[in-house]
Amino acid sequence: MSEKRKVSRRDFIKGVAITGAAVSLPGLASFSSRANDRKVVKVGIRSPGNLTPGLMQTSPAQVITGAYGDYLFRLRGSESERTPSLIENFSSNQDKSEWTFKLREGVKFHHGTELTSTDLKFTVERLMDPDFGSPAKLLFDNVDKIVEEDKYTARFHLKSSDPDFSLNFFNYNTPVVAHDFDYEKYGNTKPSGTGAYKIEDYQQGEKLVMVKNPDYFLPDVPYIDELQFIIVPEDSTKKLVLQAGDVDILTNISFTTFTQLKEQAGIRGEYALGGFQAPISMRTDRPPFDDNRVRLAVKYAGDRRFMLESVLSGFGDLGHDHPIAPSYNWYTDLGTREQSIEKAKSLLAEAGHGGGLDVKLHYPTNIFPCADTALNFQQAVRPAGINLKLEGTKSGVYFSKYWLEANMTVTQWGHRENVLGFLNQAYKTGAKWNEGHYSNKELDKRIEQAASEIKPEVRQKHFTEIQRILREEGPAVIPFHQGIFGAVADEIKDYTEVRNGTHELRFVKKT
Amino acid sequence: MVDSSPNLAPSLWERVKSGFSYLIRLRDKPLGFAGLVIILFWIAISILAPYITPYGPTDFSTDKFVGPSLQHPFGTDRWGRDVFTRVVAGSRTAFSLALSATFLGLVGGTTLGLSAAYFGGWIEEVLGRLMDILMSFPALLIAMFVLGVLGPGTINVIIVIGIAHTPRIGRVARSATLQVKNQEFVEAARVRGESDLYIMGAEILPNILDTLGVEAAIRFAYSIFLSASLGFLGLGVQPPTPDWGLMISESRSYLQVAPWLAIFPALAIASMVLGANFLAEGLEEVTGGGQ
Repeated sequence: MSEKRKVSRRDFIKGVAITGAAVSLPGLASFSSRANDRKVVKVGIRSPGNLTPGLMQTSPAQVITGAYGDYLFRLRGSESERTPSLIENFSSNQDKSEWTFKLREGVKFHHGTELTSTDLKFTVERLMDPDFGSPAKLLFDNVDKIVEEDKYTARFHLKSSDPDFSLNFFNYNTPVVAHDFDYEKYGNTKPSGTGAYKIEDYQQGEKLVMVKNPDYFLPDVPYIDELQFIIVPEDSTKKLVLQAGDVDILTNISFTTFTQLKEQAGIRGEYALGGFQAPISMRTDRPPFDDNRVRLAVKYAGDRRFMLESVLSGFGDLGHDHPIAPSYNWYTDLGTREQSIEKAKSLLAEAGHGGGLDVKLHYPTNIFPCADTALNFQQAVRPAGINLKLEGTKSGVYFSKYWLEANMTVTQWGHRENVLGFLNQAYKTGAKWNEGHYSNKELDKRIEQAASEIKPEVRQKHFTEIQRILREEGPAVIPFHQGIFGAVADEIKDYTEVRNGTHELRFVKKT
Repeated sequence: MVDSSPNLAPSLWERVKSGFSYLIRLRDKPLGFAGLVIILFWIAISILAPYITPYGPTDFSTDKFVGPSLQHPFGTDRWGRDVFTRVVAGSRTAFSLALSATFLGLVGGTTLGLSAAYFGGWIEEVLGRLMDILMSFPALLIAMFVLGVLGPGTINVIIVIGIAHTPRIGRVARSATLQVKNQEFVEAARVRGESDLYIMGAEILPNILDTLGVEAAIRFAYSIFLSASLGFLGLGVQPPTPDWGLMISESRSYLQVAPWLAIFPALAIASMVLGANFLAEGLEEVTGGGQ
C-alpha cells in the first residue's frame, strides 16, 4: 500500500512561487531589455472623451491630437511665436478676402497617402458641414468656397474681408485630416494624421500608445520611440504617479498640483500664459444685473490683486473685465480697476439695493479655477454687502442646467488665438455662448469693424473701444487670466506648455 | 359613574420619565455611557461654537498652511482659515443635518411602518413592497441619485437622507407595532370606539417609542456618516460652509504637505459616529432590546 504524501500549505505556496517565477522571468528579462533599448515617455492625462478630429471638446484630446496630428501652424510656448507647420507659406490678397496656403510636399498620413490640397479642402468643408456638428464650424462661416489651385495649393475665398483668417487654424479642432480615411469609423479610436507619432493601441479609460512615425516630415523628429498617454482621472492621483515615476509628464494640472510639484526635487513645473479666463458673468437681461450700476458695483467690489495672488500666487495676468488678455497684441492698458467698497456700496444704493444684494453664484466644481474664483470672489465682495451664495455642481450638471441660464456663473474659457473668437461667441448680441445675454449695438458694430478692417491702426482703435465698453458696461468680471500648467520629470527635455493648450511633445527627449 | 373600561397603556408622561430613567441607567453600561458623554460633548461644542475661538469659520487670512500651533491648534488651510474653528463650526452643520434628517426619517418611517402594521391587508403589502424596493438600493446611491436631480444644498441633503432612512425606520416601526397592536389597551381603545388615527397616535406610538429611540440613535450615526460622504463627494452643503466631509474632500490635494486638514475633521466624524453608535447600543441594552 503506497503512502500518499500530504501537500502542506507551505509546500503549495513554494510550488506556485517557483512555477510563477519560471513562467514570468524570461518575459521580464525580454521586457527589461526592450525597455532599455526603447526610449519611452509617459504622459498622464485625464480621459480625453471624443478623439475624433473636429469633434473634440477636452484639453486631453487636444494634447493627444497635437502628438499624432498636425496643424497648418504651431505655437511655441508662451512667447506666442507662430510658425508654419504643414504649410510652406501662405498669402492673402490686398483686401484679405482671399487666402492661399501652400502645403509642404511629401508629407504622409499614417495610413500611407500623401497630404494634398484635397485634404485641406476636405478638412475645412467637413468642419463647415452643419450635419457634422463641429464646435469649430463658426470659425469658417465666412468661407465662400475653397479652390484647389494645384496638388499642394488651396485658395480660400471669403464672403467678406478677414485680416485674421489664418488664426482660425490655431484652433485645436483643425488638424488636417485625410479625405480618404474613414474618421466616422476610426476617428475616436485610431485616427490617422500626419503627426510625429502614430497611434498603435488605445484602451479607452486606461492608456493610449503611440510609436514614432519614421516618415515624419521634420528630419530625426521625434527623438523618442514611444509615447504613452496614461489616463489618470484625479488630479491628486496625477501628482502621486509623477512622484512615483510612473509617468514623466503631467499636462493640464490644477494650479494647486503645479505649485506643490514644482517645489519637489527631480520635478519641474511648466506653464504658459495666454487668453485663459474664468469670467464671472451676470445676466444683463433681467434684474438685478440689467442695471449697469449693479454690475459696476460688483466690479468695484472685487479685488483683482487679492484674487490673482490668492488663487494663482501671481502666476497669471490681471484681468480687466474684457476678454482681451495682456498677452494679446490688441490689448490696451486702460488701467486696473482697484477695489473700492465705498464706490460699490454707493452704486448699489443708487440702484435701490442699499440693504445689500443676495445672489446665487453657480460654477462647475471640477473645472479649475472656477471653484477657487467663486470662493475668493465671494470673500472679496462681502464687505460691500454683496452676499453670494455658492452653488457648485459637477460640470455635467452645470453645463446642462445653469450655464447660460443662471443669474451669475463662473465658467472657464480656453485660449483663442483670435480674440474675435471670444467677442463673437460670448459678447455679441445673440451669440451662442453669450453668458450675460448681453446686447450692445455699439459693441456689435465695433466687433464687426474690427473683424473686417485691414489697417492695423484703425483696428486697434476698434479693439480699444471694445475693451472700454466691456470694461465699463459689460456683463462680466474677469479678475485674472490664468495660465496653463504642467509638470515634468527632470529627465525630460524640450517639452513646452503652449498657450493655446496644444502641448508640444514632438521634440521631447528623455535623458 | 366611574369608567370601568380597561386602559393599560402607560401615559406619555410616564414614557418620557422612563426615557430619562434609561439615560440614567446608562451609568451601568460603560460603552453606552461613553457614547452619551461623547454626544453631550459635541452638543456643548456646537452650542458654544461661536464663543470658543476668536476666528470666523469662513474668514480668510494670510497665514496659509500653518501647522498646528498654540495660535491655531488644528493649523490653517490653503486660504488661511483656522481649521479648529471650522471643525467646531462644522459640528453645528453636522448636528443640524443629522438631527433634521433623522427626524424626517422618523416621521416618514413611523407613519409608513405603523400604518402598514396597523391596517394590514393590501395596505401592508403595498407599503411593505415599497419599503423593500427603497431598501434594495444602498442609501448612498439613493442620496446621490436624488441629489443629482435636485442639486446639492443643505435642505436637499436633509431630504435625501431622510428618504434613505424612511424604509429602514419603517420596517422597525412595523415590527414593533405588530407586537403591540393586539394588546389589551389597544383592544380597549377599539371597544371605546376611538378612531384609527387616535389609536395609532395615542395608544400604539407611545408604546413603540423605546424601539424608535434606539433606531433613531442608529440612524443619527448613519446621518452623520452619510452627510459627510455626500459632502466629500461635493453633493452636500456648499463651500465655504464648514462641513467635515467637505473639509476632507478639499484637503485631498494637500495630504502630503498639510495632513492636519484631513486628520481633525476625520477624527470629529469618527468620534461623533462612534458616540452615536455606542449610545444606541447602550440604549438597546437598557431598554431590553428596544422592547
